[in-house]
Amino acid sequence: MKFSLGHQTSHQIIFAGPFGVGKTTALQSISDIDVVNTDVQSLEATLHMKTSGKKTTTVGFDYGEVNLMGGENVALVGLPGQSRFDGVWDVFLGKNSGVVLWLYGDSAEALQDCEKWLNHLKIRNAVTQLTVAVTRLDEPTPDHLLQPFREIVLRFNPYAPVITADPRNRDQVVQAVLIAISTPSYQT
Amino acid sequence: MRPVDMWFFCRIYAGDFLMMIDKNHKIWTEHPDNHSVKAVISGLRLYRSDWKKTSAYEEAALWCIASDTDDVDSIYKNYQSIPSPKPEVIFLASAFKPMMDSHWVFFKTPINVRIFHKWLSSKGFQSEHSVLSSVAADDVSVARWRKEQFKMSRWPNVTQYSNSPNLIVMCSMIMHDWCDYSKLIPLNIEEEVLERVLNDAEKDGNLIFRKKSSQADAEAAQAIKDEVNKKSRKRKSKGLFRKLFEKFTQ
Repeated sequence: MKFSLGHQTSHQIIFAGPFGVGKTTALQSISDIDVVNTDVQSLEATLHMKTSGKKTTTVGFDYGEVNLMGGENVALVGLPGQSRFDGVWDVFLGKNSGVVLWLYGDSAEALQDCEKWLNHLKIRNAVTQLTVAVTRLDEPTPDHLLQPFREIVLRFNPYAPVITADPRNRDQVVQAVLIAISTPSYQT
Repeated sequence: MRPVDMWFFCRIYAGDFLMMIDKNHKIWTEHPDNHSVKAVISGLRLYRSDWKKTSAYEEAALWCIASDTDDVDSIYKNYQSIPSPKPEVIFLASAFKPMMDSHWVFFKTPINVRIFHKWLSSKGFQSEHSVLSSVAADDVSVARWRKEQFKMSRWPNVTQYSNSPNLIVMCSMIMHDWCDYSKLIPLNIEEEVLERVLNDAEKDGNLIFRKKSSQADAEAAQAIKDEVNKKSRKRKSKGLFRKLFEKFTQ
């Protein structure tokens, strides 16, 4: 019998971002395999449910795989959003093909969140290949709404795209992943 | 006909056509994949973005016929069967052909953008794109990305345009390298989407341009220079090597 450790994929994409933004949903909407997740019921999530309909939170990580059009298999890892789980971040960040940073577009703290998360990623050497996906904005989104995000992202990685995406929309999540893979890598 | 009469005739004629295209923005062509036909449709969409292809020729306000159509006569018969107001016909061919009707206009391929846009303005077309007025050169309204090589300086918000992976491929391509419009056509992105992405990018200052010919010339000159330098260096070192070789073998 043949065993293999780890995954046999050509790329690994990390979904990072604040708690409840839709990382697990995004992963579930594109994964070709059953998503391995470590979601548990949480009081924090229940309190958050009023706004997002979310009852659970990821305490370890989510794992899925997607086969992209070129036949390439991409591993997808969703990280927990709360900073108390930063041990998990350390395990995964900085060793990947790319990171998709999911951010709330409708939150008052959206820009602070953006800066905070980019700092978390930078100290873990994970901003070299990055896509920032802003959720919960009305469509069509006027481009100027993304400009404040772009200005922050520019300080961390001038090549990193800022796009709008709905984690429930498979096509948009696939686009975010494709962009994360195909954007030029930026070495600080 | 005296020039004044001719001018008067053209104004009335253009007026009819304008009235017609005010209600109908459909174009019929048998060759939607022909490059010149694509160029014509792209040109039209710079003036009105809602031009749509139709498969029913009698519904169209404009016909676009490519030279490789061997059955022009039957097309002309169909044309005659249509009641007035007749559609305008753009006839594209690599060599001049006499036109069968006053509504038919001939353009030599590859289509000369300047002449084409002059014809459109003679028909009273007015651009609905502000980008055209900002990038207009001389009296011709042509976006810079059609004439020059360009590079994209940052990713656009791609999800706002299309969910096609080809759009990602295109953006990635023009972020890495200088590119011209003709290289993007084979990527099979919907023309409308492609033009919208490029127009928006140009409007937002997200495209960097360089002249096609001068750059190509500079590159060619540099390549020749490098080649000459390489050869002369090779020659020099060979001479030196030969000298040393001779010295030690003597």
